[in-house]
Amino acid sequence: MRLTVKLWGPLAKYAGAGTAEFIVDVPAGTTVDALIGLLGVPAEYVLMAAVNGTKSERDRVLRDGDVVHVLPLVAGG
Amino acid sequence: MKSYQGVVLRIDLTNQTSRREELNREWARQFWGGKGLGYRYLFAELAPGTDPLGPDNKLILATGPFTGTPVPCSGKLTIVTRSPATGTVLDCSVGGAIAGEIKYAGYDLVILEGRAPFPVVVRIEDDRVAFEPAGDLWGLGTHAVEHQLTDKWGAEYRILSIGPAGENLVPFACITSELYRQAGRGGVGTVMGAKNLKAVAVRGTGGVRVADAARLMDLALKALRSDVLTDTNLWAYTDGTPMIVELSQNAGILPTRNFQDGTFADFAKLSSPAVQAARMAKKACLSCGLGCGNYIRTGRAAVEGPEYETLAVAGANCGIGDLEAVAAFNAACDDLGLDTISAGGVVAFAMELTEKGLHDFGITFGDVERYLEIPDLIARRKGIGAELAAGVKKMAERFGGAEFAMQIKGLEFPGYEPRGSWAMALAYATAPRGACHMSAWPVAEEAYGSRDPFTIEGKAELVRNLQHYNAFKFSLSLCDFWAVSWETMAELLSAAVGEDLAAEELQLAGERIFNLARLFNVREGFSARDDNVPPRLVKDALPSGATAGKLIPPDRYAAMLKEYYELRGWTDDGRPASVKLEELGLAELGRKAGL
Repeated sequence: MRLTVKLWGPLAKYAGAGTAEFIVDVPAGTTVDALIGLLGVPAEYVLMAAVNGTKSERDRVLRDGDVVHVLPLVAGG
Repeated sequence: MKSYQGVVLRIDLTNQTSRREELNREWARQFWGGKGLGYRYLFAELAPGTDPLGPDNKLILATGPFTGTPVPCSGKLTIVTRSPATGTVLDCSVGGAIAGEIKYAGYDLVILEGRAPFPVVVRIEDDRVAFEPAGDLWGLGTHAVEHQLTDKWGAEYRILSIGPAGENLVPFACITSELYRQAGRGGVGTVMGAKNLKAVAVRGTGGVRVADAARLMDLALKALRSDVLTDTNLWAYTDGTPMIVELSQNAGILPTRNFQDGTFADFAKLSSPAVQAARMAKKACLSCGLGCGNYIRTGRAAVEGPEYETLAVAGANCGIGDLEAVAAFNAACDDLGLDTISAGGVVAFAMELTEKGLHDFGITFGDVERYLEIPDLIARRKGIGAELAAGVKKMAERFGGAEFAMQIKGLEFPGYEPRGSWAMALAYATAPRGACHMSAWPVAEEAYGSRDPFTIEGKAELVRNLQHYNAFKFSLSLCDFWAVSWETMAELLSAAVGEDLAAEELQLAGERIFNLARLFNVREGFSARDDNVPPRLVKDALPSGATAGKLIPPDRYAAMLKEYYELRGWTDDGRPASVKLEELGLAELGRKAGL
């Protein structure tokens, strides 16, 4: 299935050269956590994953066409 | 202890004199600097019931033991006073480099007291203090003041100044430094205005003697490389706080139309990519490797900002999905000397009062042109600005709308919707200065992170621990944006002051400092009844996004607050019990607070 992914802030480097927002094909049944692992983003650097504009559980099974945003740890406010 | 100058500069504005005093080292050892040491001096020097706008109130400029050293992210100045907005103790910090100038001039603290008979600028250059008449500056915005003073005395001077809002005693007037950095909350600028103090200009040419310079330098460099410039902190550089718009929107806690919703349809127009598209440059404070400041230029304004709080509270919360408009509002507030959080809060409240038909302020959610007229009206108390300048609490007393008056203890809400972050409700309610996000910021753990936001389970402990952490960290004048560990703070502080300090001792100091703020407020008559949240949070469910259908059931809020008091060793009425005060070395101060 095909996903649109955006890696925010310092996580953008894990997208490789080019852009922090990209399209990726992953096996059916991939969860949010598994996607983060496939992309090589250290899980401990991730504060939030959002699917289609809403914060998501990490064990959520993704669907074809989902838009996944991965946001880094922040401090303060 | 090393790393301190050992000197307090006391400035009597009434008689236009100044004197140097020895720093109370016993207090420095217990309260360290910044927030904590400022609290200690204020508690000792203010009689109960002191009028925040009278000559007997004091304005304390407090540095910390790391100020002026290479310790990363240590450039902040803390300003402590009694708040004219809330009547509570108030501490407020500002970035830039003025804290370093004060320390290099030879002072740990500067205490401003009395009231000048006419407008003045206090000019400090090392051991020389001058009182310059400022009649020609009165009425000017902060930008003109800074430009004129640095043109006259040199760009090496760092300035704290107020605009017309502080002069006109608007209770949410801020202090500006380096044009766009603010000590924003609770009316620190109002206290300056009441003292006829237009600006403080400081230049220092000395240094700071630490206990073990080689070790401190090694530790600072190690921290910079392995703990600051890392994937867990560099969001502050790549994006800065505008990235929090995305987090809040996803979590359903982006305050929208005066906290009527937790998501905003036009959020993307205020989020980090929009800010980055307009970005011209970055800026860092003294000693900071992160550089969170974004200089942007839009069609309407050039400004450093807007920061998240402004984007949320003066943007989405006013129904304004227009970065150009929020940037212009931000720039106007900075120059006029208004806190953008409280200014956004009063505008949003006026919009809802108008929407609900309780009073017609002639302003509706999303009305950009009218919205941009408001800062000037508030700062000069003209037109509807005269009513808005009262702040949300007093507006509600006059016009109604207490159910949706988003304030606690008289301080307007920052940009986090507590119905999607129940610990944040407790953090707001128990913060010493009213609804404040700087006392504890649990949203990172729950609304944005992995903890369930819709339960009270474990939240009292979470808030308490974060309050101790921030109380101590801000007493070292470290920046919020470095997620420094207790252990790293202990290592750095040991090298700076020349003692072998353990994290546990610092944690106890954090608790002591937080409890001292509570004692100040208890002495002023505050109690459990003041630790409540606005009715909207416990009565109205949110309509959309990750928080759709959510409110905080009143019995859950009451249970969380009760658990928090018990955990703190406070009475049911919210007063620190004598056992706790003994444990923290605050028994004598407790007696002075009537406990």
